[in-house]
Amino acid sequence: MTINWQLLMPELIVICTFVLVMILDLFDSLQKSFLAWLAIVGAAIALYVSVQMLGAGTDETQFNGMLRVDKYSLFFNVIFLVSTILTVLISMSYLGREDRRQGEYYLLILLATLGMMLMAAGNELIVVFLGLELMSLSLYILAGYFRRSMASSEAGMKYLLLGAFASGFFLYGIALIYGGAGTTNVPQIASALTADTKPPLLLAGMFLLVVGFGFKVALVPFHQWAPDVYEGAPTSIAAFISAGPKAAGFAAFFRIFMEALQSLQPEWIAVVTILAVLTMTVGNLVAIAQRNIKRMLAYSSIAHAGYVLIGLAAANKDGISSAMLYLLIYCVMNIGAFGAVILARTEDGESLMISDYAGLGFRKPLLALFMTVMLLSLAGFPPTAGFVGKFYIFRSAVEAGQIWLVIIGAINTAISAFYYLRVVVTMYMREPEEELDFLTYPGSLVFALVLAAIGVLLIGVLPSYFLNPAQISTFL
Amino acid sequence: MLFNFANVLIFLVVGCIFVTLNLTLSRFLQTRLYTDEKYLPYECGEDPIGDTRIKFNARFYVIALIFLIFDVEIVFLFPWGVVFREIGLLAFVEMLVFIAILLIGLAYVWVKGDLEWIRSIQSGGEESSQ
Repeated sequence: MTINWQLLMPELIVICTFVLVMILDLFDSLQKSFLAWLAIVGAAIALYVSVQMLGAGTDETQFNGMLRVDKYSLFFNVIFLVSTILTVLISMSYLGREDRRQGEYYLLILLATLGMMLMAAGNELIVVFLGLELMSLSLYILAGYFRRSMASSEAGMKYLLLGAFASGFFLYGIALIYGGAGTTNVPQIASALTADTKPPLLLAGMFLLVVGFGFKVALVPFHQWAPDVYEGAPTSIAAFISAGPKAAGFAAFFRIFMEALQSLQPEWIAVVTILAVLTMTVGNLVAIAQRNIKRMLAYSSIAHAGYVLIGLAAANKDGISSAMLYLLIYCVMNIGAFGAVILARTEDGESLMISDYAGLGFRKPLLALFMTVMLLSLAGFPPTAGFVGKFYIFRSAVEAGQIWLVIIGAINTAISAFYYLRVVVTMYMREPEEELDFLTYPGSLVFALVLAAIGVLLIGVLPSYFLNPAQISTFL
Repeated sequence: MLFNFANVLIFLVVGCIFVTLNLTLSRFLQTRLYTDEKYLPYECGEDPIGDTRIKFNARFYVIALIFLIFDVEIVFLFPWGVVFREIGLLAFVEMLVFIAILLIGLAYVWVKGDLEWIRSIQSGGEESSQ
């Protein structure tokens, strides 16, 4: 048994950073912001290594086929690490200098990132489950990070209960698939199943997996936890939960369904199509009714999961690669939008009602401009990245003959423009009801927002530089 | 394939029958005497003191978790000990790394003051500004 340690470099770097931050957290004399920068540096090195390996076109399995380090998992590593870096950057000023527990916050973010990386590389249902739990357990604690705040505790509790429930479904699904196929290894499941044998056990297992993933990536009708958790959790963690873990859920979702359960494609395409339509429509329609910006972004992130699901419903190579690109774009722009919400904070706390943003365009023109870019990108206007992402997803679905799904997606994009533009209109065309004093711009947060803005505009203007890596990175 | 699960099914059916049969039988055969003592929670024959629903100190869970981590470590050490000779140096180094990570965890808990039963307020980790 030989282990090629080089293949595991991104994961090992994240682990080493984790241990280092943990040790340094014990020294009280150390500035806590140093730990945050250390976490960022570690994630950045892992990101660099992942990009290098992606360029080299690595594709090997490790630990007797338990992990598959291929371009697919490396591409997702890039998404996770970008989300991690942006999240840590927007967290630093949000938590404040005087917060002495900060070290544990960055530790948990690193641990969650590691879980996500295992999920994307998991070539075995058990490994995917382990990654899922590592990620989820860290996130439960992070959602309830503000122990003294009722809303945050409630968010943590709700997320824990529903998340544990979803994990149960997922695990039961794995058990039934094992019963049907006799193995939990992804390629072996695929070869154990042929198109003409469809054991009922396996179908039941597949549906349970859909439910488990549906909870984790917040698909309608399994989405009820999302708005409450996003609203109660620290805003930076809401940004993180809506980005990286969602991408990780989809990474495992795609790999298991497209590779292991390929012979059940007719069955799961029907389910996924229905879920995509429901998720997009309910997410967008309910978002219109929201007055709280965090809840609005929560419903918008539910709707975006619906768009990503169109890529899986298309069930072809283009569908998966455009969904991967969409997830990258979505992570950047969603964390950017949440970062803007953090920055638009008043002296006496957070301004979370959409009406609080009235007149922001005159009082904080740069911040309002940035928020406008992010919201336009979320709504899918060209020249931003959101447009590119939606365009490729819809195109792949048209190629797969899912015209109706594309029409419903397009209608939903129009609906979503209403509530995103409402915030823009509020910022630029409403007089403020009362004068509010805003906090000054913290450097790290501005840095994160500038990175996000550059990312969104760059992908929007030069999409092929990002689509091509996604296209060559599918496992199909 | 499904046939392999037949013994599970038989086990399930027999189990259900066994339980219902015995419970029904005892219901018909038993004599019933209700006294006040029968409604008390059983505490080894002692008279119960106070309510059964008391709050446990959350620190029990922390200690239980720390115990669990080292319990699992022992579980991992056994198979490692069995194959140690075959794998050689690599196994030794890997187990050292594994134990080192756990020891760092122990140090973390120690310094953060979670091993002390009565925590001082300074080490308690103050709240963030929310």
